[in-house]
Amino acid sequence: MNPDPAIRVFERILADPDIAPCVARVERLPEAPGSFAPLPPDLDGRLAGALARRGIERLYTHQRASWDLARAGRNFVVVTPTASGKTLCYNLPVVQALLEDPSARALYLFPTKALSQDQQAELNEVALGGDLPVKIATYDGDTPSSVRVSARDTGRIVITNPDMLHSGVLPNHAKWSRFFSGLRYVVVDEMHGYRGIFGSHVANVIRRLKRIAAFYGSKPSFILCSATIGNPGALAELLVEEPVETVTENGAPRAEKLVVFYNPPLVDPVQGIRKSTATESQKLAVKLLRAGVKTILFARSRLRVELIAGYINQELRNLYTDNSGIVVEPYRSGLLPTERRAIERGLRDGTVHGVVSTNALELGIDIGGLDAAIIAGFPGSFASFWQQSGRAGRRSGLSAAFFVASSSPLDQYIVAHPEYFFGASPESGRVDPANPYVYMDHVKCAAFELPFGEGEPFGQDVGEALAYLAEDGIVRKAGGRWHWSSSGYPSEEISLRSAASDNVVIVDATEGRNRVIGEMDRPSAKELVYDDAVYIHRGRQYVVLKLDLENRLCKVEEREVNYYTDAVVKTDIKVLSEDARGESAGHGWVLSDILVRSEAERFKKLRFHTHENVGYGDIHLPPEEMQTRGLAVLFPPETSAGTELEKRDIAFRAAVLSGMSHLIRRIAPAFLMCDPRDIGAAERARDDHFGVPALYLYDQYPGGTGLAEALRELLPKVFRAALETVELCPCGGGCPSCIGVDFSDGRTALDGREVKTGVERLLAASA
Amino acid sequence: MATTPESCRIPAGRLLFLDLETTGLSGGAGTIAFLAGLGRVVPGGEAEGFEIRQYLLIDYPGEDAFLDALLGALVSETVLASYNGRSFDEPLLRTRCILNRKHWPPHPHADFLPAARRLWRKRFPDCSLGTLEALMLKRQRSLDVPGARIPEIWFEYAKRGSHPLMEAVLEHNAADVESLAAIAAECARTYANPVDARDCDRTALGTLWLKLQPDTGRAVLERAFEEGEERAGWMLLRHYRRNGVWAEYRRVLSALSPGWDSWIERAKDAEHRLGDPRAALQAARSARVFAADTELREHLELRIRRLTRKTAAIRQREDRTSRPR
Ligand SMILES: [Zn+2]
Repeated sequence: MNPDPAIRVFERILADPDIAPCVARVERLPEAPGSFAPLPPDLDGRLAGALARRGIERLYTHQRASWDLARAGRNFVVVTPTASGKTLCYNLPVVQALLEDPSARALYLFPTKALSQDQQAELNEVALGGDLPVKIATYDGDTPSSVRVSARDTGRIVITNPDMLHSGVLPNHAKWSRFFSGLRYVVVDEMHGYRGIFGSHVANVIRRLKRIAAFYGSKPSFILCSATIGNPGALAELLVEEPVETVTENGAPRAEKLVVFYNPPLVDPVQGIRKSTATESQKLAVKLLRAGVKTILFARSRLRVELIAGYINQELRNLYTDNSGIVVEPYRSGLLPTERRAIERGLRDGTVHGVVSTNALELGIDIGGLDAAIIAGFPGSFASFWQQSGRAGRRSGLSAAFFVASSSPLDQYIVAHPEYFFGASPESGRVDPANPYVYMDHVKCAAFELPFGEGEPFGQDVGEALAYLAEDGIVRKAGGRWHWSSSGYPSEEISLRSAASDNVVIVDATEGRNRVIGEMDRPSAKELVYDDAVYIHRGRQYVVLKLDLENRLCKVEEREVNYYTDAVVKTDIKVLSEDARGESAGHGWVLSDILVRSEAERFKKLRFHTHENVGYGDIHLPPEEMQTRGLAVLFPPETSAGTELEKRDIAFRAAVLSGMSHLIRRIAPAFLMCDPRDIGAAERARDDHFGVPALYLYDQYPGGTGLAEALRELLPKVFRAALETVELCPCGGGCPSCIGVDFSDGRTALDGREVKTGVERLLAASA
Repeated sequence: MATTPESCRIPAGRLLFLDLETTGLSGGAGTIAFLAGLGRVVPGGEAEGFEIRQYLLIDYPGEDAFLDALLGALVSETVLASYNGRSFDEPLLRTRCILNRKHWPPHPHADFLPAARRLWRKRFPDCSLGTLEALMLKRQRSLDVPGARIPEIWFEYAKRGSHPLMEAVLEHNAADVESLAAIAAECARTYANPVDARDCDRTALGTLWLKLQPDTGRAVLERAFEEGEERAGWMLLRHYRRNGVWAEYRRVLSALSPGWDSWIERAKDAEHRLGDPRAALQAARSARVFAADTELREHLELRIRRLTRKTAAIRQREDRTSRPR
């Protein structure tokens, strides 16, 4: 950093007339001293030596607590912020155990490939700096087949990801017999990443892992690490299905940090339009970089990363034509491993001054300490937010994290309620290993790996699932065991990360370019890239020529238009079974299995900026059907919200419910720690099944992942947050930041101002 | 077996030919072997014969006994012989043994697929057992079950206790074992008489022998070169150059058909060994005629420029020495 003390630099930037008016709040997090514990007396001398070479002569208290639990053979989860020496929590006890017992083995699971590479580097350097006789092997999709055999046979620590464990290791466990026989520890890092459907899959993969280990006579202990989430212990226990202790107190010292909330200026208060997050973040980044502040900027998509990095470099070039010397790199998935390594190295050794990244760098890859982090748009969860902001900050000295709000309702809520950040408990990670679809997938894989014995448990009683598979001839019972009886290889067809194979490829066919420019899952494609839809990509406008679902292909052509398109999706919901219901003064609710049938029949053309409806088009696509879990929020006349709705006619009721649905669908993800696309919503001015106005909120994954259940508990909080968001929105009659735009159903035009007030009253009555 | 020729020199009497029918091709833990065909040559002088034994798994619970029977058949002095068995059949049996808590002992194993590939890759569209059987052994199967249907036949058989096509699967397996033995015999014959062997890739064969027995290898390669195999010529050229047999080297070099590569080789020989830059320049210019690739042309231009300078220097020197004072 430049000679200016950090505080002066940040003060100057915050006082900049370009910046100051948009700063909604500056929160100063004080420094905290570290708390230490001595090295364990039984620590192997070689390990102690390796630590000493790195200048480590004592441990943080959480590292020592981890050691003690690991030595006692307990499962535990360590909850720590970024840069708190988390890896020693597991590396020390694991390497010690491997040194003590030459037949012992350990498995490290990381959610991504890049991370395991980094982990191997760190392990080699740190724990093995003293040439410890512990061979570390990475086993993932990038591992050349020549290296795989030696990884299997001689790797003492094998680093892999859940996908590889699922499709490569477990189905071939006999080749790993020595490894499984000696398996003592399983380390699950970045545990908070294992939530939702991915987590539900991973919980089942861990079931399979334990089952195979047991076949070889081993029973590994689990060490899990997580960023701060609301329920680390509970999530860990759901994942490994055993008692898990929690280590939450953090002994690492913390340096002082500023957290700045930045709301881009309004350009059109009536429409609620703000300057874009990308431009504002880039402006901040340029100011910081010019002041010599090493900065990381997090953007939400690969494209945005490229765009913003490009803008920043362009800007810097203009400012310092010949001698800027400031290097800013984009970092995202899709880069070659060598390109990534080079950027990481550059960040560590200081030759790269700034980086624009997707959440790929949020995970524990070591890039050294940076001075400032800019978070362009809420990353979807508080855990992610804190991890990203944790990228700024060294052991000592001031750092700053800037949150630049987007115009989404959620971001606007957060920027208006910074106290929520600091006061509220973080979200909880949820998994549902019993999701029937996920469960069935893994019963197949498990049966392939080892025949199921009579009465053998697999999470729950597996008998029913096996009987079902037997009907299809996939397994067969003989001699008291269920045997895999198909020539297939089940894990090959099962992706842990939802239906990736089902994606539609978007091809730019302008003047025979025939270039792939994007990808989209099938259900989204039906609602976004139907024939004649406007598709916006890297700031360019394309019109869809043809969506060919059969061949998973969407052809688009670049064309200048002055409107965007919005599908009118008709969602039919059939309640299959009611599981629980309740009622408060404000509203009623029912939890149920539902069948969702959605069909986009036409689309609206809306003018850019004004969102004025300039026409309609037809969509001819088959409907999408899905059985899932849903929460129906009911407004019967006896509740206060129901009374509120009763007063108005049906068209107005529909508009108000639609505004509420728009808002809740976008606010709820922060409380649920999920992606906005994971939740579906449909409103009914008068519901066929319940006979009253209703708002359905449902899980977008077949069978559900526990979101509907969680939402039921959080509903009052979500209603309150939604209400505050509309109340504080400066727009006149609705905007994308609150209740959405255009409430006409093509027949009746409604006054947005009235609808907005209606939504406010409904929310107030519901809460 | 370390090298292919070695497996071809094992006396047929010691080989135990193995072919498995399995419930899938993935080789993962859920794939099982349900039929093993074991073939061996039965000595008897004039009455020498070929015996095939088949072990059929009736249903899953019998796997333990099935594997015991197979393990029992592996007498210690026998050598397992297979077609692609080193990467498929044997690892699969090893996996089945581990799953049944048995030990699959390390066993000498001669896999004839690599040997066959060496010999016949250039002769036939591929070297699968079926292709060699039909095109080289000229055998025909009257009513064969397609391999892809075999797993499903066994699943049905095991479930119901019978299947109309199970008999055909047994025949298919027996025919595979017979063809395997015949291919092994053909490999052995070819390796044993490399100079006179017909219908194989003689260059590959000669190259192999060159490592084991240079005299034989040379003879095979010379024969192949005579028959017009340019690759054999290059193989010989390299061999003679490495061993400094320059007369033979130049004989082969002059017989190689003209091309940029042979002309470059001649240019190098003239420049570095014969010390004749003029001949080298000539050869390099000839090479340029054949060179189509830009990179190669650039390389040749450099070479020509260098040789031109060299010859010019010589001419000057000659001029100086011949100039009257
Ligand atoms: Zn608004």
